[in-house]
Amino acid sequence: MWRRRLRIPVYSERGPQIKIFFHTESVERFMKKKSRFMTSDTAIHMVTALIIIITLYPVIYVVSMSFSDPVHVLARDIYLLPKGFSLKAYRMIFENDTVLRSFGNTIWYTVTGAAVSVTLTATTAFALSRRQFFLRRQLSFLMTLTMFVSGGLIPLYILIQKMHLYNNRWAIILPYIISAYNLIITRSFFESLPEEMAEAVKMDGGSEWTVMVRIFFPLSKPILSVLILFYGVGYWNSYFAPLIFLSDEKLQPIQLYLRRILITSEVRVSGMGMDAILMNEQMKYAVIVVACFPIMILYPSIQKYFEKGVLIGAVK
Amino acid sequence: MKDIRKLWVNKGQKGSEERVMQTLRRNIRKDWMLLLIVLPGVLYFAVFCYGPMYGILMAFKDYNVSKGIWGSPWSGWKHFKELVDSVYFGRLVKNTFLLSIEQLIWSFPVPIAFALLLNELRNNKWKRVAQTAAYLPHFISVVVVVGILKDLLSSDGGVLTQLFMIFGVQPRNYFNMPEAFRTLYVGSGVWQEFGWNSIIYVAAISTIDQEMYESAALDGAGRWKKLIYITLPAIAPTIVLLLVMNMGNMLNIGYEKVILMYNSATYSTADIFSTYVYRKGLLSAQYSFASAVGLANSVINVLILSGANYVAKKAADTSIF
Repeated sequence: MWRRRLRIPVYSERGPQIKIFFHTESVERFMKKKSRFMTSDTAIHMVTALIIIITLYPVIYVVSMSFSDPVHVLARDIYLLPKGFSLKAYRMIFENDTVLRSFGNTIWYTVTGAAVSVTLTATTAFALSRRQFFLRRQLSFLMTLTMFVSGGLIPLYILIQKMHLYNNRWAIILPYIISAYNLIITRSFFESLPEEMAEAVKMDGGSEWTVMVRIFFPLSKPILSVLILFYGVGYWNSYFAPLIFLSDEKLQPIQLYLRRILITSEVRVSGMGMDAILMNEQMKYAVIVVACFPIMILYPSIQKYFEKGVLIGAVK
Repeated sequence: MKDIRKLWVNKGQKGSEERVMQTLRRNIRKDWMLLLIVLPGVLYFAVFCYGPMYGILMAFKDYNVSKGIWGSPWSGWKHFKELVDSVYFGRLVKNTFLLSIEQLIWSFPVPIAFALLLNELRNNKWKRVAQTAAYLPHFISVVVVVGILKDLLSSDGGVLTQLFMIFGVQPRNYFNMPEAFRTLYVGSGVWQEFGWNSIIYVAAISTIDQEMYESAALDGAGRWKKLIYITLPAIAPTIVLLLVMNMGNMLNIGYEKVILMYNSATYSTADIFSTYVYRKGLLSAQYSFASAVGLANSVINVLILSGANYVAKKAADTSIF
């Protein structure tokens, strides 16, 4: 450490030269500190702060509306933080049979759909990632092609009807099991795993199945978490497939309820008087919060994986 | 594809068929486990992706539910002629193109700018907060996004309406104004996706060798110089590639959101090919006509994609195929 001292002469008006020794590290720290407060840095931080505010404001606003005193919701004088405190809207939601049933449906679709999708995407991607597989190129090409060409809405609709899936729970899962994009990022991930371990398993007489289940899947926590997130969010948020395939209200997910309450304004709380009016206004905010909450707490924990270049595989 | 081509070339030769069958049998014996593993995926793509492509035949037929796709009588180009002759055709073309172009102009550069901004943040904690916040809207469903937008802009006391009133703008029902539709659609789309779409650029930037920045700094390069001469050239291939892909999906514009946002008052700017398909096909059950409209849309789309791909190949030596 002492060898790395920096000798900087300091000139003083008062007397002869005084030599002061600076420790290199402290000089560096000083210079860094100075540059951090340069004007362009300040500007960059301010722009970033502005972007964060614009992004988060609508979300905070909705949360505040849902927790506020209904009187303020009706008066519309809430701008950022809640005014008053009330859980009435939430209590109302959890006593509402339609909302509860829709939530139950959404959870079923999300869990079942994500389980099927992640399993099939991972197994298919595994087979396509094996270099010696004789159909690898042909199948990869045909599956990637579906990213750009499709039969379209009407033929799919007719197909679902032909398969007697209309008003069947599986109608909004089966047509969307594998997305070509997710398949490609998964395949790229598997291709990046070391081949030596697979070879070792084969040496010991293990099959490809053993390679997949014993070697590849245990090493694939990042990509599997990303897949669970992507498919889970996809099923949780999907509204169009249920809209066209599920006319039976008993099967409909929460997104269709939200659509009725937010977009077409069909849902009205029955009853007369002030309470019903107040509730009609506030309930929608509470439903939004409850419908978004599970994903909001899920994605930050998986964020580190999708930032670590997992997605770039699709571009390459 | 090579193997398939080989099959065709060898077909005319004597005894080649046997040899091909032999190779095939050997391959199947070698890879039977992989075939078994890939089978469910292949079934899925065959039934739900390639199955509907067979259904496109409907566009050239007068589809009749009881007769099925194959049994229905042929109608040739009738439905396409009907589409081109329809009074709505010009409006559909105009709306589809304008909406996708406006969407591309705004939603493509913003994520790049945001990724560059993040790269300039030296404080890692700030960076994380900014990223987490920017990703959040991506995970909100379109129904909720449109619902919140409607609420913020609501003419009786929406927060944005109140804000506009400070500047002297009278409350209006923006969702019934045709001239506001595209701005609302594109604006909310940028809000929802800019953070998410920046991930790929952030990842591309993170692969840049830090030594380049250090040596540039030694040569006296400032922030702008580094950005223009190091960062941008390094992510240029990614930018071109994503631009081509975006253009390829240009006409596959998110109709799910349009359907939530438009109403008969705004059809004059909001009605696009895919929403027309939805209304004609699913709401009025004109299956054949709607498939023809959908097919026309896809064909234009593929043409744009190959055009963009060709230009990218010539100009920047990058291509998706």
